[in-house]
Amino acid sequence: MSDRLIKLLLSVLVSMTVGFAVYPYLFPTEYAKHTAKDEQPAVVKRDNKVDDWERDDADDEAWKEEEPVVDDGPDERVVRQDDDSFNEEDVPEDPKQNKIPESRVHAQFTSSLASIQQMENKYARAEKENYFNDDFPAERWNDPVAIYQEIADRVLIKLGNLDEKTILAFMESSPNRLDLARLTIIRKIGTTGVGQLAAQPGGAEMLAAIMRDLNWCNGILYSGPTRNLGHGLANLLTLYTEDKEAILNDEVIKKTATTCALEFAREGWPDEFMKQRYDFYSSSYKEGRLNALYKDLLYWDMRLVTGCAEGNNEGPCWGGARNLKWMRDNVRLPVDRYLGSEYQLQYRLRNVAGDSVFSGDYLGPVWEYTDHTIAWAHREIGGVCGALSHYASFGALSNGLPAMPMGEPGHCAYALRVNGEWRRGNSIYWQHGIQKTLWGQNEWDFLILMQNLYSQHFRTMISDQLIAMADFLGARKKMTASFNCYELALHAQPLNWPAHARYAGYLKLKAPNDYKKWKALHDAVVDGMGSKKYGHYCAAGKLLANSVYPGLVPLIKDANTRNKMFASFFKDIEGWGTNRWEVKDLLNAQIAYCKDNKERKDFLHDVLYVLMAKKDYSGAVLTWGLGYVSKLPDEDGKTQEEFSNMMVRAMARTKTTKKELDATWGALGEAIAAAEENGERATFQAIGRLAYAKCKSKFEKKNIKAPRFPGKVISQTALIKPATTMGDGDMKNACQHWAVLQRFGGSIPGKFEGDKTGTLIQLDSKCDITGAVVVLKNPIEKDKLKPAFTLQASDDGQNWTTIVRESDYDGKLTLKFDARQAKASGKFLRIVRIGEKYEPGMTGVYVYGKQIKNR
Amino acid sequence: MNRRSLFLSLVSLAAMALPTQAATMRSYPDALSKAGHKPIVLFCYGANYDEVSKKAYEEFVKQHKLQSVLQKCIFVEVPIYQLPDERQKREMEKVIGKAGLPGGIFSYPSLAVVDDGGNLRGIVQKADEIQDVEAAKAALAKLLEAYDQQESLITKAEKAGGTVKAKLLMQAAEVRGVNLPPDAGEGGKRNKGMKDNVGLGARQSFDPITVMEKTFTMDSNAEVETYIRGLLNKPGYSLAQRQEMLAALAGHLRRNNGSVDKIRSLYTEMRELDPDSMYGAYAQGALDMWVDKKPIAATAPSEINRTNNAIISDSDGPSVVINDNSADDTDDTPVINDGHTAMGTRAGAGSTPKKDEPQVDSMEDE
Repeated sequence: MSDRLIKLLLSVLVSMTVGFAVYPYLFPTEYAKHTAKDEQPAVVKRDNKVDDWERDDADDEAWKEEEPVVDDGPDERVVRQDDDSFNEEDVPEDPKQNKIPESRVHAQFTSSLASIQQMENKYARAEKENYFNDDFPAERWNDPVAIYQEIADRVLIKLGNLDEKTILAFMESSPNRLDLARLTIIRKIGTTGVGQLAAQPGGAEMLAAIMRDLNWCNGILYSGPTRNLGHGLANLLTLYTEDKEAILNDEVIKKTATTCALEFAREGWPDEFMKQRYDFYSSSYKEGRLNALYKDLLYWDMRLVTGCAEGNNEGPCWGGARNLKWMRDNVRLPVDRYLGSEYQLQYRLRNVAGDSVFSGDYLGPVWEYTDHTIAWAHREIGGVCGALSHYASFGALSNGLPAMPMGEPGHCAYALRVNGEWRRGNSIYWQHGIQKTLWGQNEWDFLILMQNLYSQHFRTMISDQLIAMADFLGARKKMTASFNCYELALHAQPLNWPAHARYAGYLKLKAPNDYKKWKALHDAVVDGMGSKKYGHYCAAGKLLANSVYPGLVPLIKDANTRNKMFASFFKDIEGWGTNRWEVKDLLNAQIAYCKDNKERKDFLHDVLYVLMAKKDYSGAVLTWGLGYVSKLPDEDGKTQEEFSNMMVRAMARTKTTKKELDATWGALGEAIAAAEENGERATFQAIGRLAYAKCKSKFEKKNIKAPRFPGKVISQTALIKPATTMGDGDMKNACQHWAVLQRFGGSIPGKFEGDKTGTLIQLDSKCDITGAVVVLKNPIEKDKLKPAFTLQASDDGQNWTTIVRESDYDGKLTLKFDARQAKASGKFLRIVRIGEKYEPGMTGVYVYGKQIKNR
Repeated sequence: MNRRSLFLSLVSLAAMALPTQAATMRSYPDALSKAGHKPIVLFCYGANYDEVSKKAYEEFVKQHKLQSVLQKCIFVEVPIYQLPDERQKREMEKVIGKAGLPGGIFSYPSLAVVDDGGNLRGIVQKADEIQDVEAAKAALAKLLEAYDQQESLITKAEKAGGTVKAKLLMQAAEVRGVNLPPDAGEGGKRNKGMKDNVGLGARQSFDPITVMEKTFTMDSNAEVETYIRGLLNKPGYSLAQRQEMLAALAGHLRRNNGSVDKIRSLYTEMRELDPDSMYGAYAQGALDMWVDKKPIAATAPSEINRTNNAIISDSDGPSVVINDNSADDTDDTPVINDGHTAMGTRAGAGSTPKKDEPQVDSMEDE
């Protein structure tokens, strides 16, 4: 018995010894797997980015991956994945997860969206308390692969069968969210990049500090794009090394440092100026010199401030530390009073010495005196729109308030945020190009979209986290769950523009021929940010044109179905949404898919049917359409005419009630102004006649009595073009220009200056000219009688001959040009006055002569 | 001396021993109505958003550190709230009143010196002036002294007439650091009966841009010089205005092949008029740039290289390229142009009339 017992014990002992010895080889731990891998370099399956998605940081040498080493075993290193690329890790396929899930409509997300709504409150509480976890101290960051694998394994275990409910339940827990954020940061930098950062003095310590702090991780990841994140964290390390205590202990300083670091890396601005920018904002905040609103900024809007443009301190920059400091101390105002603060500068195109604002001579003499400080120099000397708008916006920025200059055609204005609402300053036109943008889109709608998106702080964070989860699952070859997460992210936050674009990229990669998926994405955009509830038509249109149509449209074989889909975008839109937008961009994108004139005509029919009924759009669409048509090949001489007539008829069919009269008048004015600008005479005439038919009451019957010359009036069917630049108000009344050529008269501004600036008349065809009569709005001022007006003629609008050297003024309102002696002909006429600028209004312009047959 | 008289005397002595307090008023309209010839000092400060203002308020107001320079003034605290709530709005309305603050206040905190007509006569608001109580006190004291001097001259002028009045008002205008109020200028109520033989009117209506623009209409350098010298020879203009005239002349010569020696002498003349002023510095800068050819202009910014006013985006969408012949004159549609009556019968240029196209009445022969 005892022998048997001894044998049994011995055999157990041997088995255990052998078992312990063999176990690690049979069932290796994750860490052991990693260690083994380190010893055996393997194949790395690299960047599977979508073929035409550019990596923006290709020149970022410091953060390039090591070359892959060829071998047979798995590689657990994580290749850096930027915002525009999709990588897959070297893991086995999951057979349960390689199916593209069925498309779902919004209603099928109801249950998950209800959970998300509840999660928002929990997120709010969690952010207030913040969550820290020190499970990855500094010394472990020298081995980021091990950390990544450890976290990835535990995340996947917790995600269980990867259904939506489990994923949302996972996200409700702060420790889990911290894990997801850590994974995402590592994936965005790559394990090589993390290792390089950790190897820097203080790098591992900073990484540990970031990766233990959920709010900090969230701020880094979910406040805008994370392009060049590795470089961004290297920037942050520079600041951390110098100002560690403040960064760790003061949330505002932490945000200041992080946003400076991220934005300078993202924009590709020089590192040394990043440090100066940080020093300015951090010291200003510490000294209590910034507006109190600064401390309440979130990460995303602090990016707009600390990442404001023009950060070059050495040059004449508004965003340089020297200028910011001067403005901070000399233009201290409550936020709303920065609107209008541009008038602290005198508007002067030339300074008192006569030097133009467009030359360095303008500020040059005071450049030393003002210590190379641009705002100060302009305050002393003056400036025009650029200086004024920069002054107002950088005044706010220097005090820690979100603002930015913005371009308008031929003008500079600015945007300023007051109480959560973006307002325009010094603005003269609807078209704004904002200077600071997170997504590379500079239309005004994107500024408002950004504001609306991030104002829903927790909802957007959940959506962004779902995108991060989708990216992670996609990288882990869990395609089914990845699709589900992307789609839920879009439905959770329909305003998440970058999320939509990213999902389109994934779709292109994984399901390029899945019509239903593409159509579902299209509908999500149209019913989401493109709906009248949100009114982000510009952003939605860009998303469709750039990210959705290229995938979706080639899958639609029937042109009719395609045109109906294009028109569906316009069906429910109401007004311009957040701001007027370039509807022509979307129309151009859509019509580009038409293969021939028949398809184009059908497209125009469908789209015009919808758009011409919308008073805000009719003018812009008419202008676009006529412009487009004028560029069509016109081999048979009829195509353009046919298209133009179709469009004018479409406009003519629209009802113009008394209430809508102004809108129609404005729309036609805009269209006729565009025709003037483009020299499209036939279009000019067609719109003029249409305006007369639809808005007769807008034309004053002036009953003009003017002298005449032999022949017939040949200018009635001409195009007339003033030399003045038209503002919005002038444009609305531009149909009066057409009326100037008619018997009843109209109104057109004159601008005469030098030998080239004057009023142009483009006749229907080449004619013999006997004379011209101009009826002025007011008598000519005495000091403007000399020099007299001159009439020139040309066959081509380029080479001019003077046919009447001196006009005959009757002392009242009429100028006559007697060309009978000249025996001249031409298709173009020009009235000029060689002298200083003179701008008399005109009410009638009539050219007499005879058309030359057989041109 | 009875007990009562003794008591009053003691109280008076005690009052004299204490520093005189500035008259503080709760509202700007009250201050305007009661100021008389006294200056009103408005302490405008960011009341709920600005730590710098908070510190200034603590020192200037709570700790009375400006008191010694405010003795002859009416002092009003003007809180400026950021995004005010209803109570704060009411408070601001009460303090500021309907007329509003005068223009020219560019930054808070600041100390604005205003007269009873609501004219801003001067202001302490530059960063280096307002940064601490000593600097602010010194700047305010200087400003108030200038105000007193100017006001006393205007008061004297009010009692005088004709050319004496003009002379006194001109002296008032010459006091540096304060603005002459508009009502002391031409046509103003404090100006009645003045016979302007000193150029006060020309001084007050002077516009340097008009002068500069006029030089652009002249045919020769000699004509410009004659014009500017003519202005310079007239009385009344301030030093800054004269410097502006010289800047216009020198600028014109510089751009129109004037000799370097001439330009040097003009900028030197301009500088020497008032070397410590901004235009004194301008003149020195001009000498450095254009006479001594130091490379300043290369580093100074100009509007065109930094306004970003061309950042209107182009479409990112697919562009349409369909045989773009827009540069040609494509409008070669055949036209039946029968002169005066043509328009009336044609619906579209070169097309036959269509039922649903608009028609326009014809132009009749005269």
